Amino acid sequence: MEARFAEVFEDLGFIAGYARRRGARDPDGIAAETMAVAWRRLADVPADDARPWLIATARNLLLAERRREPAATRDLDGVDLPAPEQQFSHELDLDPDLAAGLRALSDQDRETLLLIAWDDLTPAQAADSLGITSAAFRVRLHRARRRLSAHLTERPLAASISPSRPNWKQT
Amino acid sequence: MTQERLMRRLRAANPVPTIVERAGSDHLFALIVAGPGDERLTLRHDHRFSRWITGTRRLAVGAAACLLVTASAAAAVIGSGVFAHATPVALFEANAGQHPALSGQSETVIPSTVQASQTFTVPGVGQVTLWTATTSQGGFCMALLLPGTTWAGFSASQYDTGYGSVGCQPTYAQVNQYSVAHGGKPVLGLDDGFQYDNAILRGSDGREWDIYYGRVIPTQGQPATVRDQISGISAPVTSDGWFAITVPMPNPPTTQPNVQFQALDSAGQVIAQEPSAASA
Repeated sequence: MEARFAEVFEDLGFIAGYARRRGARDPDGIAAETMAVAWRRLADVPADDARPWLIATARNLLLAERRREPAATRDLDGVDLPAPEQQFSHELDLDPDLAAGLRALSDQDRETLLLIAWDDLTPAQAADSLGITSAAFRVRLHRARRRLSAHLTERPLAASISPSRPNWKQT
Repeated sequence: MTQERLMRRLRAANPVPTIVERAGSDHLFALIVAGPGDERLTLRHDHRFSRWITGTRRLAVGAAACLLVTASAAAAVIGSGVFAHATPVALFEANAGQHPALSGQSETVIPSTVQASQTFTVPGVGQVTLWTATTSQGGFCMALLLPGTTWAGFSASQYDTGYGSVGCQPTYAQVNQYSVAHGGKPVLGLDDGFQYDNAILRGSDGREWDIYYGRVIPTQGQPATVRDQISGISAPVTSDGWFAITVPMPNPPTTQPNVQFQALDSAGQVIAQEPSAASA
């Protein structure tokens, strides 16, 4: 069991990088907690490729971290929702145009793009981490690229956080 | 800006481009494994309760078995060249687009149900046919046949952007039943009667089209037409609920949803409707 976990644990730095790229307040803490969850639920961690499962877990921990920050929450009918512009950290040192473009995207579009461009996942891995089919992921990626491209070429975009409808409707 | 340049610019802006070894990781590893690990693996290791496999583990084993079957089938299909020139039955039997983990089981096409449900014209592309079937598990299969007898999703056509989903899939009801049976909760929305995929086709003039294809099964009534409330475009629905509707990709793109469908009966009454973006 420890030998198997040791293989999963090799992705500690990868998960810390993921958390840091998403602007986590405590990326090393997120990575450590992700590994602790993996140890407790090792039977659920795919043996062939743990990264999508680890990213999904780290993403949930990141959301929990943000929910603990009072300034970053809005109460909407009893449901805590981070305001969209606050789901993407202002603390990352990015080209201002690119940062503004990424902030203008929906959370779903942004995550779709960054899983490929920053985390270097394959479309299949990224789809697994989001719990959707590869085909649905490719459609999302195509649209997200178009939307970001449109923003960067200063075309007018409607202000909305709603992405186009995914093939698989998550509740 | 081209898509390639965009992705290069995005990659270049990666704030953490390389993986850094974490200092003290050996200590962290020791700390974690000192705590209680996954009981399911501990019990299995001890061989004490090998017959009492938990539901979650059964789920993992089932999904792994399905993936193995899928990989084997895909390898066999690629080897036989079926991708390029399959009959619809062979295509659905190969089932390249299935996602077994969602329902815990593979979908097996019923060959007698394979049919050409809709033929429609996409500007700059030509005639496209929606092939459909149902499966013995209660799911369904879909594929779009493009001009030149290639299937959307295999990128073998000049019109195909590679986003089509080819094969069989469970219904939302199957996925939710499986999730609930294994101690989870319903994971997919069910309430509007629509279940569909989409593919993006590029016409010879460079325009891109979203092809939405799937089924609508309202709780009441017989749908005759599907209408997109955003573009106003309509398409017929077959007697067993299949539809395919072609909608232009917005140019310039917007962050608003592309489509919001409703189904109407032959008298023009709305009998199924997707929620608006605000309520979705």
